[in-house]
Amino acid sequence: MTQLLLRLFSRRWRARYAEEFSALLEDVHLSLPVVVDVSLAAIKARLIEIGQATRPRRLRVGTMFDSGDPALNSLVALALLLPTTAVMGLFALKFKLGVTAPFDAVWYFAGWGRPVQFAVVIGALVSLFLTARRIFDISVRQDGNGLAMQLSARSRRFDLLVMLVGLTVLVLLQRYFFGQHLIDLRFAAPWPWFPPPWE
Amino acid sequence: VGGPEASLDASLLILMSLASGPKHGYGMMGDILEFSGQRVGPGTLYTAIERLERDGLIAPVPSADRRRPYRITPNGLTAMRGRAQDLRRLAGVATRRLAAR
Repeated sequence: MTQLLLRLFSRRWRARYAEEFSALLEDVHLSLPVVVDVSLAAIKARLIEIGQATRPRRLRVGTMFDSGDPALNSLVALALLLPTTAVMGLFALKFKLGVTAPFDAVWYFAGWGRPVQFAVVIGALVSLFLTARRIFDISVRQDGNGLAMQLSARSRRFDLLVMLVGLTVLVLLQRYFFGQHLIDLRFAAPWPWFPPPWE
Repeated sequence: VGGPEASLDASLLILMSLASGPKHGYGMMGDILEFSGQRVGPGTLYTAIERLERDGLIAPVPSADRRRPYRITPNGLTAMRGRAQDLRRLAGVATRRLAAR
């Protein structure tokens, strides 16, 4: 946990303070308020560093997920989305086409309890996050009025496709697991195909 | 508002702590809690330490230990005297206004 918290700080900050700061974190009890305090300090330190830079700096989020290989990053995003998509498929097979065996097998071996729900939701969310950070680029620079932020997007067909699938799966998923339209798309066509299983 | 939990900024608390001698991060946190009743988190502490060090108000003390101690510099003592004077003036205003009621 200490190493994970340290990774939130910039490389420059870590080069100067990592050793003594990790020693301090070993001495204190890592409660939730402490984790929040350290996370906020890391954000503040990064913003201060960006503010001091004379050239525009890219705001890089979630570098710990970055393999360094763009193709591998996209594949990881897709792989994270697959279990969620598969779960959606199982629901559709059982409740719409009457093919119950795959659904029942998962039910038998894993159940549809909170761990499975958590895994499929988090998988899709992380996948969306990974594709979003490949498509969108946020750069921050210091100008006369303070910090200026610029958002730019790149057209990457594969990532856009993964993102679209991820969004669709999440929208359908929230209907299955929460049984309500948290996101109202204002059209009813897809819903008869994906009713909550208890309906 | 009021009581020991009334918050003072972390920089002043660190200067006050180091005024009694060099201390490392955990030592400062314990000392600050003892004299002010205020709990300063490790992140808040190091945000303030970085700023104070950059402004030349505190300086690290060479140490073989990973827990690096810091000391207050002459500039830090001057800054702390200024802040103490501000606080005395504010306390004076508060006392006078309370007495007038």
